[in-house]
Amino acid sequence: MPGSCSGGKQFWNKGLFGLRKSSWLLWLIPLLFLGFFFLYPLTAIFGLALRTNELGWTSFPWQRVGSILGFTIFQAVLSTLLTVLVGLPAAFLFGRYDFKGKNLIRLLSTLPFILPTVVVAAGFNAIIGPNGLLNLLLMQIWHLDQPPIQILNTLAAILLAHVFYNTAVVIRTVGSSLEQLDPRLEQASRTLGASPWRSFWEVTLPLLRNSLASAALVVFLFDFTSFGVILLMGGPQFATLEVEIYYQTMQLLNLPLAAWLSIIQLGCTLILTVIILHRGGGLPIPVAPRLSHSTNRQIQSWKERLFLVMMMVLLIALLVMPLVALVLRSLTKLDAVRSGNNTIFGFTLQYYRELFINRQQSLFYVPPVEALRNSFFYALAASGLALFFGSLATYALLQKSRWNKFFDPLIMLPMGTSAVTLGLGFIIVFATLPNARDFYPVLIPIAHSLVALPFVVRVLQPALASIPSSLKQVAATLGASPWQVWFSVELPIASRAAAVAGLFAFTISLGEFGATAFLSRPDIPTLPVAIFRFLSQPGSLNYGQALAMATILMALCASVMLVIDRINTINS
Amino acid sequence: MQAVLKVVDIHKHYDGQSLLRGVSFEVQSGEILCLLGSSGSGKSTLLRIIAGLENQEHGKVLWQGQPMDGLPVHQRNFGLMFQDYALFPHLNVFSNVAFGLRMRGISEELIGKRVKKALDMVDMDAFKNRRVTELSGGEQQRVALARALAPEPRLLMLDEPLGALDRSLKEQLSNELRTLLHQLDIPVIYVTHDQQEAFTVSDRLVILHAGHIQQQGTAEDILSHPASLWLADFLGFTNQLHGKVKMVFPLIVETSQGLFHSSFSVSNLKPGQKVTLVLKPEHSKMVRKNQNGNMISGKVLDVTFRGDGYLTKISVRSEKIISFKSPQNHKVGSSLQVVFPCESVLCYV
Repeated sequence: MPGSCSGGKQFWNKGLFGLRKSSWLLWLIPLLFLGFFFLYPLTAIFGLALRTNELGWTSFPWQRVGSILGFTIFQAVLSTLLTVLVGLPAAFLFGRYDFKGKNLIRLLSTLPFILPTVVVAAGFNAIIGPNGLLNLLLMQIWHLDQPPIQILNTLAAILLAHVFYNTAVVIRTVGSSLEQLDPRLEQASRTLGASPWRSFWEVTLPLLRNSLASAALVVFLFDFTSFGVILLMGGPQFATLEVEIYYQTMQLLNLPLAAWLSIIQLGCTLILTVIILHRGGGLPIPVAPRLSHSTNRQIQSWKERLFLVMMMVLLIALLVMPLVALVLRSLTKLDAVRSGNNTIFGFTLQYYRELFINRQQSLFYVPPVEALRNSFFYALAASGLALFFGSLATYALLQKSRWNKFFDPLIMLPMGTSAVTLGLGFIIVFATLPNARDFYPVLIPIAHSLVALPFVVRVLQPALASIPSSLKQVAATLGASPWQVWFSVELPIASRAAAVAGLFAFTISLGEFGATAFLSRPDIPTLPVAIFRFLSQPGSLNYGQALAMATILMALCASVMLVIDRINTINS
Repeated sequence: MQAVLKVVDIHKHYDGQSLLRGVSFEVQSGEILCLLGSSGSGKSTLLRIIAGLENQEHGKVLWQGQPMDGLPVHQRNFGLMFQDYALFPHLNVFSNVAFGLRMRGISEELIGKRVKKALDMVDMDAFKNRRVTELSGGEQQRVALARALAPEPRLLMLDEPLGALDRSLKEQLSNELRTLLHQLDIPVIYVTHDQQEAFTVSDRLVILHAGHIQQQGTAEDILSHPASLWLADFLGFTNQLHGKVKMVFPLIVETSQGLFHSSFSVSNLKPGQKVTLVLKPEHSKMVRKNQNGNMISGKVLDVTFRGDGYLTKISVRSEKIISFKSPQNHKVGSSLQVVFPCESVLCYV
């Protein structure tokens, strides 16, 4: 038949280089990467667990594993409840009211979202730790010998850190659906005779139920897989699955038990992730076109003012104080000589200066500032890798093949896998190789890029998909080859999303602690690992240096977040 | 004049439904051909097939006798102006217009000249440094046109170029557009669903419906003798009467309103065949006395003033409504007799 063509496919389904039949090439590269560095280590964990004969079912420590799993779930449930309790009113405040300083508080409340766990731990240590500012102040005021606040290494500290961490998730998820909620629904219920409380209870809350549930599930997942917070703030008596995997691997060298714990952990997190991804999107919320500020109310009545003040105090105490304390404490000198019970405070840059010095008794063979350099290069490499594989995977996903059903969850899989499990898998696979230690510096950015990959794809995908196909088509009618279309239309339009994705990957890598704790070599530490080691050592100089490094790491992450926020503002 | 573009027997399915079922037409050089059809008639798909953005299942697109199959979009040099303009949001006005020239690797100096020429043509040179997002709808439309023209395409296609604009701007621009397109001296295919716009802009029209071409020809051909009852409906000839053929030569049809002579019929008729008559209002006349045939009588139902006369609706035995233009303002409720001369009576099966 003259002029007959295969199928009714559109020209633009031909793909990146115009090669319709070879869109599988796009998949091949990220899949090879995922297969070798992700699926292979995971299967190695399964293999090790199944192969081990010494660990018969009779001698398997059921009770210990059971109580660890029990505690993991218990603390996660409790943390999630507390987080929702703080986050829901905060979301309401941000979603419904306009007030001075709202933008600053909004920015500050999203900061914890990207802060590394070690920074959070250091922050809480700096305010409520035995050498923290609050304890120092109280000891000064009441002339005490012992720090009065002793909640570090208790469950309370874990819960506090988890609430600090995840309130941003609730504010973001629930707040954005609250903003999209048609305010006329609540107004209608008011005209039908509902009090403000009842219209909240019977109209607003049921409409937010979905996003609230989504937020709670995400928070639960984060709390369930929390590693750094438990390790650094819970102390040795608390072990979640994550922490136990770490202890069993790094201290007791019981890899088979660690493998079994990993499998249990993986089972739980995968189920959670599948549920979360399935619920994602499609929230049945009536969306009405509205002016950007038309629904937001001004604070007027004394009740509203009281609500605002109380929420502000709570949010600032919870979200801002630890970070402020971290900075202050890293600049505070304690005089060793105490006159009576009085400690003399002073300003000092000593802890920062010490970072450049390699002391004899130092834990490292190099000055601590090297850790900053290492982290920077690891993050650069990791974000490069994540962007490369992530953009290939995104293009492949946009090809709309029937294989997507299978590939899309595969790309998201690292999100449901804890970093500690990844670290264990790497140890099992690569530790047996000759000269294994030489590989570790390469493995760290690879592990980081795997953690960042799902985020990169989730940022790039909507940006690339939102480019109207008419733009690409008009470029073709104007004489642009598929390659020119990509280079002069898609790339410039998607460049901001790519920058955001790259910056996300960069921050994730900067703060990654779980996998790094397994793979980092003492002579090539990353910043989080260095902070962890300094924090676990006695002595005020070590403590001060840990806080100084945590401050630097926080400043780095905060500036990256500011850049991202700036890009997003320009975009919209 | 010779046909430069030939579209031969194009077939295309979309979502399992047949969208184009054997469409053929030709475009001559320097001619503005209008593809007119309601939304979903496949006219945009036809443009996209000619542009190479979509593939036909059957049929050919020929440029000066050469089949275009296998020639990718970017090598066809067919300009296409999209319905939503599709201006590149990351480029300013100048760079949008320069895009096609840059793709051809033309020197920046020459690009500057040709962009200026294209922008001058649409009177937008003063806007060259603006961001496209700052432009109004009409300005965006002109930039999109300049962008399509700058690479000097051998064929220009416009997909609902005025579709996004409001009525008054549309009327003004369609006249300007016709003048401008004629100056180009290249074949132009103009897609629209707006009849008024189509009749204003085009030299010739192709009317698409249900995957088929209903009629092609000049505005005069089509308006004086619509080729089908559907087309008469589509063009707004709503005065219709049902009847039976009484005599074939000359054509006489018997209706509930008496006998009607008709000078136009689309197919071979047989006596006794059921037919529908379309009464075109233009040449209708009011009469005082009863006449033999071609006459409608009824009561005035509604009168509206339309600038060049009064649109008068009369009800015929309170079951049928016939409208026509009258120079006089008749009172609602009064009785009237209207005669439609035989050249205004069209007969369809």
